Amino acid sequence: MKEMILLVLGFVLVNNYALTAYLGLTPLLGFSGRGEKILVLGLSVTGVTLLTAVLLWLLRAVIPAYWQILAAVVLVLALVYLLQRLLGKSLGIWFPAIALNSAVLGLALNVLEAETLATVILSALGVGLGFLLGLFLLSGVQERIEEHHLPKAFRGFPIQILAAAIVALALTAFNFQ
Amino acid sequence: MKEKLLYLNPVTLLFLGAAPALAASADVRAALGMSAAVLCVLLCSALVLGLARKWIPAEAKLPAALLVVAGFASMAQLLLQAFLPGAFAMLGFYAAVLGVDLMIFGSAENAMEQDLGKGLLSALLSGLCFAIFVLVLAALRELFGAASFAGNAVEALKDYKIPLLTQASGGLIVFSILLAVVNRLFPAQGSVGALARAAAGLEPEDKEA
Repeated sequence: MKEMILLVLGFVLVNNYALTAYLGLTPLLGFSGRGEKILVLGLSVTGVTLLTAVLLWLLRAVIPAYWQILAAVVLVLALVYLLQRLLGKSLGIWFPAIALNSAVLGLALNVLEAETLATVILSALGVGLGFLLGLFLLSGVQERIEEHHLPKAFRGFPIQILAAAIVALALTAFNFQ
Repeated sequence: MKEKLLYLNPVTLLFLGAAPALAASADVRAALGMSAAVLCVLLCSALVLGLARKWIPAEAKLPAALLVVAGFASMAQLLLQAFLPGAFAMLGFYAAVLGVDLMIFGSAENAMEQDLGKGLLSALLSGLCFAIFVLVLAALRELFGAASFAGNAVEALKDYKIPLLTQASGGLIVFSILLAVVNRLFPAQGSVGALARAAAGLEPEDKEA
């Protein structure tokens, strides 16, 4: 039980995909929604990551190594279309943010070597929740940035990346080694 | 002349391609491998999508672009593994994740909207822009973070290492400073495709959903 919790927490805090491995960084920084929208996007990403990783892991014996990337992309695309059907409405701008999120693909390819299904499920949960945490932290930082005057060169994307750097620096505090 | 050639705003472009740029920038050799891979994938997908654009209906654009880019990313990964095993070992699976890279996707989307020549030229310029930026970023990070250049130790800097620069957060800091310089040199002009912008969450919120 303890290892399971540590595995999830590890992916949320210590090895946060977006902030320490750069996977899914762009959707994380570009997203400007607040409150409920953050929760919806974060949980959709978690769900799609979980299903993609589990399905790809289960199918790993059937898919040859050189088809893995293409298979993962097709799987993500199919799942996002399915999600759209289930929700009964268009995901609109969130559709590409999930389908083109490198955290989803990255995790699915990364856990292919995992030994048990539980590891796959918990890692995927951790990555999804890590993305949600990143969205929350950065939307707070974003709100503070908007209140201040910035040098012209840093306006827009550069300051967002600098903010992400500082949040990432804060997360290294969880890395006791 | 520059305005006519650059279809993409370099700052937006580099922001969209932040993940592979940062992942490959801890070492100059990895940066070279990644730049070559990105340039190949950009050009090949622009060629295929530019040729096929008349037969792709509007609603199939996203899946079509995704599949073509992912296919070429798989190929690039395998070629990298075969011919540049050193760089491949450093890049790990970031070469695979190029399949959903927003910068490449944006360029592929652009290629579907322009004629072939323009699409290819735009892809070439995006690739060169990415390559120059990543090489500068990698040189700075490797020189000052690890006191080496392309794996060769630089004696003069040995006692002045800044280990932070080799870590993820240090990379982000250098990236943001360099991006600010680019922002100053090339003020916003042109734009990337709507889908790529939407994928990065850059579209206004209330447009849809």
